[in-house]
Amino acid sequence: MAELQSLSVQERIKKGKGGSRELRRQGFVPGVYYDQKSTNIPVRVMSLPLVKLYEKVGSSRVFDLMIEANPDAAGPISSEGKGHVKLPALIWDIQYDPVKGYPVHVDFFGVDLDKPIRVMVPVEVKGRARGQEEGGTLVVFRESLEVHALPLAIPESIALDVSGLAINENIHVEQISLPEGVEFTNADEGLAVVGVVAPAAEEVEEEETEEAVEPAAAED
Amino acid sequence: MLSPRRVRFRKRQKGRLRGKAHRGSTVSFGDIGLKTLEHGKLTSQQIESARVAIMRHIKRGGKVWIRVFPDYPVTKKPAEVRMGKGKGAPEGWCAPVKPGRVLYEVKGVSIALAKEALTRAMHKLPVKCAIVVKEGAES
Repeated sequence: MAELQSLSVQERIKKGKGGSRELRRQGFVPGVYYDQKSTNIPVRVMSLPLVKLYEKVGSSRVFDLMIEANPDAAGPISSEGKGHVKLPALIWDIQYDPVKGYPVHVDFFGVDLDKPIRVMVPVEVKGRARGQEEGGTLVVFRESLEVHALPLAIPESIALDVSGLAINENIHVEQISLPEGVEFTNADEGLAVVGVVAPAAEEVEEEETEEAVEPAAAED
Repeated sequence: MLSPRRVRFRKRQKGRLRGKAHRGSTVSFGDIGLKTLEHGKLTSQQIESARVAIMRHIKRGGKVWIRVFPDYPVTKKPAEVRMGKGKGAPEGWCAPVKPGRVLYEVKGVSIALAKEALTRAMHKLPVKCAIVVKEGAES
């Protein structure tokens, strides 16, 4: 088994709006760790390591979350008398500032390595479609697909080779092959994932007539 | 130009814009978008003018989404009229926007062409804007 990436976080004392804002001013991102056993630990993490880790693992790959105890926090880790704990986790959600784009909150989801989970895995398109050479447009209908698998078996991305696609042809979920032990949760729904659509000539004509009318309307 | 079909009240109070746009702040439909960095009120004329600027530049093959709708009435008093005597007549429509709001999205054209088109649209709008590219779309 390849060694997992790791991220160090600390138990968090400061909670609520004021506490979280203070942490953000100091360069931390407030977050929370939770799992299916009802564990719930407020944590704080430095912004830069979090961003770098997210670039590597995304939201579908498991990594080791090192939670350092904070005696003042009186959380579950420090109350057990441990210095730190190492837990396998996924980045479940990141909230970003709408203007600046930096992370303002992060959710870590603790996983049981022996229990399958449902995760959204991003779709990665490879190659240039035959239909694109003929004037069509490649459209990705679904940018991520939900899979059901053991945490360590979850693929980083679902690679789709589109080089054979002609105009008006699609790749459906059931046509995609996955590694052993990984399956789509919606394989039987016949969803199209990626396709090549014909150029929309009618819309452009409409556009031109609309624009031609505009100056006359303005003069009125 | 964009305007509501029917409204409950013809005139509304002006109000003030505070805070950031927490909804509609991510590029959801296209590959690249235009995001506002300031508060402002975009009139239906400005929204249409920016849309035409984008459409004329990308010509064909792409798709454009307008993520704001001017549903807020704007009133104006006639020229040379003294203050008072009630609120002016409805003049047009505007879309109040907060910083972070995505205004336009483009898909189906190269990122370089879309950036140029959105830059042209930016010059038609009364607010400072930034171009945002969806994660993974630039590669």
